[in-house]
Amino acid sequence: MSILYELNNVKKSYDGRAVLNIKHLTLESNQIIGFFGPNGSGKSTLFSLLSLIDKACSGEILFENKCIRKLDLKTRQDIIIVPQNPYLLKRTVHENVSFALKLRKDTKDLEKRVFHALKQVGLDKSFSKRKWSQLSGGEAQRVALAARLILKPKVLILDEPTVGVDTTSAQLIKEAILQAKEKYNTTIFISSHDHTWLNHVCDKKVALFQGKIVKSGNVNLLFAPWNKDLDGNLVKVFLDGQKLIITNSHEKKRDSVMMINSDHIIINKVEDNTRTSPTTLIGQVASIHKEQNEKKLLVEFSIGGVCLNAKLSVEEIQNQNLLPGSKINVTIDTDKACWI
Amino acid sequence: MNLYTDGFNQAIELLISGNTSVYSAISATITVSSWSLLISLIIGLPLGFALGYYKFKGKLIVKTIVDTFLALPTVVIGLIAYTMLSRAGVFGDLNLLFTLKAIAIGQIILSLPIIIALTASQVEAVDSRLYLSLKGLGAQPFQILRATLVEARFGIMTAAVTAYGRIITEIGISMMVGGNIKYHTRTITTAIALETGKGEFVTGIALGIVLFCIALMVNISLSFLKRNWTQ
Repeated sequence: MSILYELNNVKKSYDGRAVLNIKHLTLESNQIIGFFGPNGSGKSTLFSLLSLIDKACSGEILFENKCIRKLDLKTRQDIIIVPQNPYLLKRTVHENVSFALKLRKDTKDLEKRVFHALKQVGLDKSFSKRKWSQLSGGEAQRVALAARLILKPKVLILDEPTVGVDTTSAQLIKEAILQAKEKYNTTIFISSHDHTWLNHVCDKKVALFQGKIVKSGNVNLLFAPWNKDLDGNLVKVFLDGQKLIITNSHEKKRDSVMMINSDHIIINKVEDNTRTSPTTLIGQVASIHKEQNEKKLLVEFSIGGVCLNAKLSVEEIQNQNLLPGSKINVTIDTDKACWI
Repeated sequence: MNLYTDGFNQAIELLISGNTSVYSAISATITVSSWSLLISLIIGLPLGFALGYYKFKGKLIVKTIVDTFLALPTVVIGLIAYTMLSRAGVFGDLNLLFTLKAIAIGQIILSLPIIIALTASQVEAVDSRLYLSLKGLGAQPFQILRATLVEARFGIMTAAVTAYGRIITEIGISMMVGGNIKYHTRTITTAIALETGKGEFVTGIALGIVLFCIALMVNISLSFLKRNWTQ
């Protein structure tokens, strides 16, 4: 894998308010990289810079070792973005899907290519005659994706593609993305709040918070609000009433964000809701899946509605007979936590 | 009441009979107003797009000036055009005064602010996600302009119809720089004014009916296109 993007000291601000500040970030080619973080963390801003829609206020962005602003038209047109809530032209689905090809004056076998692109996102030929106003939210999102996939882009950036779509559409979008990577060697960047969906699609994840890169890889973020106990330590109260007390956290503020690597979370299967120690929490496994280039499996679980993940070897999972739905004791090594 | 019914019946007879002076005025009106509108659209659409799309210093001032021109009386525009085209004027050497071209120039001055102002407001009203989507698809500035105008087509057509309505019904410009010369620069509106002044109400009513029919046809076409595009 070669480095596709390199960002150095990239800053972006709107009306004097800093929204992005990335000291250094490299993004490799032929990967699906997920970006996550709360609203306002800078994901969309970063995507607008990577897709050349916007310019950084300072710093450099290199694309294949060339300054992104000096790329030729052909290369620039190979970087495609599907914005959040994409806009469909007030025309038919066929015209929407073929629009970008017509912009490039590449109209050979247009009909065939439109049908193929629609098929990739799980829509049949009959959709091509529909008007923009006759589509559901999920269908519109898939048509927007088909309009990009038809270009077989080198880089495809998807800003929250699963917002407001049903589970079937989310699944079809996932399949189309994986297919694009496989067939066209497209490098894909995706942002989403759906961590489970993101984990299933991405080769790598990058966390953003307040415009800064927090961590690459499998990390868990525990967001504010925090309570304080009598000793002044931060306490996270989950929706089901369970509490996670962070020792030696007197100096931390209530609006802090705790970041913990998946490797620093230990999980053990339990048969009932018994906590093996006061510092453990009860959770439930949501899914187990294998990530690319990783030996360990990623176990996603939830505690009172908060989704977290941990890494376990195949043997550990087999020994514990861990399955989706299993009740688990979760021990978080809070000494290893980082704070933002 | 008899004046209207008799006038209407006689007007229809006049139109059917193919009266040359009436048809000359109709022909001059349609020719000059169509050219005026076409040229106004060619100049006004890109300017309106730029005014609505780009953010620049003094945008508000430009918009205010354009909006002010919307309210300019046609006789004032006629006066401006006259001073420019008369022998002593800037374009005096072109000998355009009292020609259909002179009327067209005046009508372009009249309709240009309408096209610019209404296009700008339509472009401003277009969903901002459109620009993001177009840029994200790798569209170039001219392609963005074209796609935006197509997206705002209903509003822009309304702008064109509004401008056409103002052009075809104006009298001040045609009278001042056209001179109301029979078989040459006489338009429907100047003919109506002249014939009414002479007490020839029938001719006036006939020409009025034609004006009404033109406006009706233009609006029916617009409604048809709107329905066809949205369904």
